Amino acid sequence: MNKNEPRTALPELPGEIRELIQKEIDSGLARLRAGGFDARLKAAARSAPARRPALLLRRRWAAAAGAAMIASVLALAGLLFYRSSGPGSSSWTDAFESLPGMQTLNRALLDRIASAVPTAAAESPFLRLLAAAAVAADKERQEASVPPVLVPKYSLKKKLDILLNDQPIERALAIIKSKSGEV
Amino acid sequence: MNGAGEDDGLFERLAAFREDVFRVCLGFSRNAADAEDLCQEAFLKAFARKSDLRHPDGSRIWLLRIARTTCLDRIRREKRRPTVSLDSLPRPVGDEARSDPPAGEESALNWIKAAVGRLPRRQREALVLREYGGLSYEEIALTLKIKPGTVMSRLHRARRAVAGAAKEKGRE
Repeated sequence: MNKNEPRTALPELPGEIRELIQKEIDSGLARLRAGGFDARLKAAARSAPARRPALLLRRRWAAAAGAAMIASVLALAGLLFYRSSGPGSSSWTDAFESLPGMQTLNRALLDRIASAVPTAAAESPFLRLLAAAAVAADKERQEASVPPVLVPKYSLKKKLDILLNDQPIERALAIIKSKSGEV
Repeated sequence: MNGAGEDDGLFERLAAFREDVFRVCLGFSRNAADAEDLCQEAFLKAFARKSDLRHPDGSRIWLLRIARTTCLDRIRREKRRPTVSLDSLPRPVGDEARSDPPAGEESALNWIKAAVGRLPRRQREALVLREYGGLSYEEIALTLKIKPGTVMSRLHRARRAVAGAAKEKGRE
């Protein structure tokens, strides 16, 4: 059928089958030519609506989907920002720091908790429990690390000087020292 | 927007391949009436998608590809909702206009259609494009977007299957 056909010819269909197919094609084509197919096709083609190019549709669809995604991400980010810093609200880390003793809480620890716990859960019982535990731990740490009162060690001459020269504060300190037995 | 003149030009260019398209549709369908219907549907699809045709030189292959897809879609639809062709119904008394083949030939043709219809889809489309469409191996490869070697192997298997079925039929 074509000059460029490969030389190694494939086995063909049996002759009688090929003949039958050819007859079917011939009678079909005769019917097509006689039936005014062209006129009907031309009329139908004129009334057929033109479809937009698929590629353009795909591009537009992708652009619309991208824009919608960006818009939704921005809206979500805006909502979260408004909720965390809007009027009458405060972030949960601020609430933590306003608790007694929380000012000295390790900032890095707070940041770690902040990244691990969503902002929306700031009011949850879990966080309240966490805050109470942090307060207790901080108090315990503060109590354990109270530095010893630095009491100046006075010489006898100085002590007498304080007592005699009517220096009430210094005198009180001298009395305390003598009672606590540190001097 | 394309003008009416340009549309007419495209129509003429595509309509030149109507017989090629019809032959392919005939291979996939049960009879000439169905094939004509499919051919028209394929052309309408082609006109609706005329902006997809980038290279006018490839119009024939592009059109045959649309015809093949249209036929396969129809076959798929019919598998879901079986239909009966009007041409397969008994002819009314006095209807002499149609020139159908003799009864024996018709049954042989029906048998061939059934044998081709039983082939796996890929072998079937290669056989139809070759035996009905008269396409070269290269053209079939372009239409199906496969390698010519693959075309040859599919054709070989399809022909062997149809010939085997014919032998079986002859023995009965």
